[in-house]
Amino acid sequence: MRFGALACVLILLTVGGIAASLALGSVRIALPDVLHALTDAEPQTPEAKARRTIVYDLRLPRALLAATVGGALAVSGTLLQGVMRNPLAAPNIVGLTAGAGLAATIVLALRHDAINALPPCAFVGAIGAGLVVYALSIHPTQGASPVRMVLAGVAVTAVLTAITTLLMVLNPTSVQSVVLWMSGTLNGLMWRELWATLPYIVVATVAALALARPLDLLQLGDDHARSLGVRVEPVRFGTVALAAVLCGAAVSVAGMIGFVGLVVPHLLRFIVGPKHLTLIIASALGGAALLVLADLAARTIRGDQGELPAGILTALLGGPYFIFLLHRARLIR
Amino acid sequence: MTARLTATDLRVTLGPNEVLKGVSIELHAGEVHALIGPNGSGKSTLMRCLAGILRPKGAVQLDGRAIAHLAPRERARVLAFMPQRPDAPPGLCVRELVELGRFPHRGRCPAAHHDTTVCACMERCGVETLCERSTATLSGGELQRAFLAMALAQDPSVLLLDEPVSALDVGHQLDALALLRELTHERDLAAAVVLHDLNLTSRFADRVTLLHAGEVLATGAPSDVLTSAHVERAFGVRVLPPDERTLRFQK
Repeated sequence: MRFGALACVLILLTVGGIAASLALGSVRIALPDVLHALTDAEPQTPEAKARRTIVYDLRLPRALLAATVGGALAVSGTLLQGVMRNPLAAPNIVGLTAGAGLAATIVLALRHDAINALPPCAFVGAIGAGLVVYALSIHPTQGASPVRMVLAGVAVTAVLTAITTLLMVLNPTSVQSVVLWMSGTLNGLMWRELWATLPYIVVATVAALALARPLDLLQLGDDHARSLGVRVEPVRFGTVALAAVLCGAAVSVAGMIGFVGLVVPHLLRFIVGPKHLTLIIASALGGAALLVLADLAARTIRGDQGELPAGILTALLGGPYFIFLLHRARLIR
Repeated sequence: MTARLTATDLRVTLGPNEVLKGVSIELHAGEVHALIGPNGSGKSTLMRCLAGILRPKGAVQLDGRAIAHLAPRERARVLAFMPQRPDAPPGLCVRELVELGRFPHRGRCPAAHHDTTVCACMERCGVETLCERSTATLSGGELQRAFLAMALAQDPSVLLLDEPVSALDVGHQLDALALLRELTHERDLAAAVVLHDLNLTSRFADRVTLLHAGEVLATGAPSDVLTSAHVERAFGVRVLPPDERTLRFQK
């Protein structure tokens, strides 16, 4: 009941946010005109054609991408927190986004006009970082352990970020493009980017649902989970791989949007509890709602003076929450 | 008496240490088999081998089949294991914790059957009134009973408990072991339990295996194993006769 009510609220927030995103912006369009622009594929008047372009070609794919990317990052964070049994695990903390960032920086350092090569390279970078973190956390006799995974992730983040910074220092011409991409923005995204990422995100999210029960059992500890019939190593590897695919797909089009993967699973765990089946679904919906609203705010908050990267807003929201988490952890101890 | 779980010549080396040096043991249906021995004697390692978690040299057979050849979920439908100090996932209520024990049977019987089994196991272990309580709010004794209900929800014929009463006060120790003994006899389980208290061992175990430095020092009925000579050799202590300062407990 609690989950059903929450799901309805999150869906309403997402749909409402998307509707507002279609109507608001540098050109305000009334909701009836938005509906008309969405349904009329061949408008006759110049105004209707302009509205169709703004609503259908520019704002709709961007809003849908915000929902998709937000959902993917939140599910990625849920998976990482589950598999690492650590409340502070998130794609940007355990090295996945740092892997994407380094890959993007290398591409821009080699050719600073190679914007089109960024998404696939960032995707590969995130997955590569996930595999490296997993490989580093494997003990010869005991397999991968949650604690080693978190520590390996933090170490990989430090190394990849240092190399990224070094490349930026050595290639100052690429700095501006890299910084813009790293700040995390959904500006300029079209249907092409949506169709390029959606299949990965949908398939990985559905696969994540299949891992929900084993992930619940992993919370008992490795030995206990094994004794209950869980194949611990394949589940752990599969979970990290899915988290990397989700994060890679999201970051490849939207850049480094921080804290969605950390904040959303935590907030929702308080409401729906720790079971992963409901938590993954709730996180997908919650991440979608958060990023749609954050992108709407990023687009409209400065009025006609241009927009902010959505990643800055999510980080501004996530930073204080992170501090709250630390405070809470101290209180518990 | 049927041997449900048989281990033969188990050898385990962890790092430079040979933790088990050719241990053999049999667990029989309807019996509580206590594993005792000083710290570091290999009790927990033996339990992990019997549970199929560690792969030792030697053979472990469950109902005549090599445990290493069983699929994990197939093994978990027959054998339940409760580790030392099990972790309760934060935020779960007792019912959700006990439901985790049904994982090996998921997809093999209707949802209603899972619910009935979970309720019956909670009731049998006396935690049905706590079913909506968060595990974080339970006392040590309540949590231990919740974990026992979870193990029972696996519907096992072999039950392995690693130090299930070490963190409990004497009253709860007596309750927990009495419950284990009742369950073992009523469900014809083959139960193995690691214990440290020799008085409790003599009172609740049908059979005892005393481990010392990775080897079986003695095995058999409690009266045959818990002799002064064995205890003095294994634990390095002198056994004194009971006097007026000795407290004996009963519930």
